[in-house]
Amino acid sequence: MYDVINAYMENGLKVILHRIPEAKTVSCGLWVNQGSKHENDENNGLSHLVEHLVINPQNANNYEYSELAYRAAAEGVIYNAATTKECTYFYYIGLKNTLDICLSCLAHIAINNRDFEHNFFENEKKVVLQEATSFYSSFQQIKERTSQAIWGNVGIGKVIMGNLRLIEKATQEQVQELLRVSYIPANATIVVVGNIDYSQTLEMIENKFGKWEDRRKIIKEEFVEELPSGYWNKGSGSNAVISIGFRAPSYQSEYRTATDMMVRILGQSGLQARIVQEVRMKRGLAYNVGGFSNFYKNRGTIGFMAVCDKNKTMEVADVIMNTFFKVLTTGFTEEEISREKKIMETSMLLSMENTTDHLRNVGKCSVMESNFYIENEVRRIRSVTKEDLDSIAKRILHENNMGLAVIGDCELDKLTEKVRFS
Amino acid sequence: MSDMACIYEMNMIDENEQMENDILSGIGMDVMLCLMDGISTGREIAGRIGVPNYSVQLYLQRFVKAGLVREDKEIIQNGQIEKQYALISDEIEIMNRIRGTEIERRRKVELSGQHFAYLTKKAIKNVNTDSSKPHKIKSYFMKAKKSDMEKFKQEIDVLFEKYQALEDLDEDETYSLFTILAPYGKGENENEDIKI
Repeated sequence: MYDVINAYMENGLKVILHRIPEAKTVSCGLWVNQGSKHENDENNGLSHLVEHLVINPQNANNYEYSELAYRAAAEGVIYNAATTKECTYFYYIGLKNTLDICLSCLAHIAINNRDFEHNFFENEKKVVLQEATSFYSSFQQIKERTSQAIWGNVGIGKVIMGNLRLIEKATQEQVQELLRVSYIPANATIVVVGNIDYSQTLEMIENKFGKWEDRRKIIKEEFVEELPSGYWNKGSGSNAVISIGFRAPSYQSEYRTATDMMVRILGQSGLQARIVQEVRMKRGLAYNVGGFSNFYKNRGTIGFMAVCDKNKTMEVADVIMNTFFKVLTTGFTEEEISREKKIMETSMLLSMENTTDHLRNVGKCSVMESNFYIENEVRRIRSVTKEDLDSIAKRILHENNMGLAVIGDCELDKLTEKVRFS
Repeated sequence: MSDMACIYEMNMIDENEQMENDILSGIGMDVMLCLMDGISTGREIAGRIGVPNYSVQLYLQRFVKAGLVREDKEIIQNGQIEKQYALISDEIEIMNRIRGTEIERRRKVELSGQHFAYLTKKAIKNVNTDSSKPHKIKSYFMKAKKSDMEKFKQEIDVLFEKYQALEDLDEDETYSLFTILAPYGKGENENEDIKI
């Protein structure tokens, strides 16, 4: 049985603890509900910039944190951070006896890292710009562009890397305003996973985070475009990337697991995935081809993409659409469903054996106001039927639910005639 | 190593120059005619034409970018932003004088031609439903001298003025008179009586 302690501190901070008696390492993380979906046209990209600023120990304005971070590294602690559409999270992993120092680092990130030395600030902006430039020069951005196409350049459609021009002009005042409004206890969760003692860990967290000032959380309504649209950029070079995306259920939806399974069977199950088979194995049209899915608190995005020669985009689109037609007419086979269930279950259980992946699963669920229980996840996988999958395919693979993202110089008008169900 | 040049701008649509200039390609004209008909949302236009929502959005965004169409946002229920579209100017109809750069002229000529075709189609369909009222639909293609055509054009002008002088605002019924006297090219005759 998987047991978890869920608690709230007096200042509103949520705490989730999970004890794994046999674990030799401990992982702890801070999740703040501030991501690109909370941004607008004036600050798109700031959540990611803030992530860089608050975790970097080179800020001379917080000497104590710098010292802690270097001591933690000397103890073998590994730390990292990431920004998503819904949250920014920071995590530290180390031997069991490093929990105290790891939590101290997180406390500084949460509470104290608000003021940045000028040169440090400007330098970190450059680093973020480099990362963003690299992202926007890569075909991998197509997944974000698919979200943008499906939901609009608003809310969940906002690209995490943000607007390069805004990042360049970002000021300390803007960053501090974001920290003031979003980095508050009621908007955050601490997660600890490992061979821990619940009482001691709670006491440690209380000591370090108790002084974090309780402030009222500002609830903003989440908007998206009513209709899916498209993202089209002529790109450059001889290659193009095309992604056909669909609006999908939310993380909490009863259809989420079946949707995930459908995407995997069609595009993620290695070389056996249907679209990979048709596009790559049988026709050699692309090397980089597959499906992806992202489930958020209120909605989700799925997509199927391929990087190909720009003159082959039409053919790739045709093949992908024909794969959809076949699924809609003949459904999924018991063989591929059985295979995918085992892959998903294995993958889920593997993630539990890695304290970092485990930590991230728990943290992600807390952002979506859901609890993570491995038994539940496995049960959901096992209970998916062929009828569920066939039904979800009809529900999601639908013309009015569809968007298109293309980067590359191709005949868009002819492409839109191909990418349709009617 | 990067896959391509960095995309700096955040626009949803950034096409090559040829596509930007050819905004009435594909179903673009169908979308434009829907807008002229007063249909204002992407969903309605997609339903009328019978194409996916997303592809209508491509053409609407082109028109917005070209300054032909205005986009108005309205937040509706459940946090969804509905967009409504309207033509910037009523002058995107039949124009007697076409000005502007070569690209703008070609665009306007295309729009005028398509709009004219739409109106004549509507008139012909009305005859089909109400053939008891006065109507004449006829076409004739022939080779002729330029000087004779110029004289004939003057007669058409006189006839058109005569027609306009018959206007009676107290009447309910609207009649239409279209005239196209134009060079048709150097091919064979394409005489065809259109009989209703």
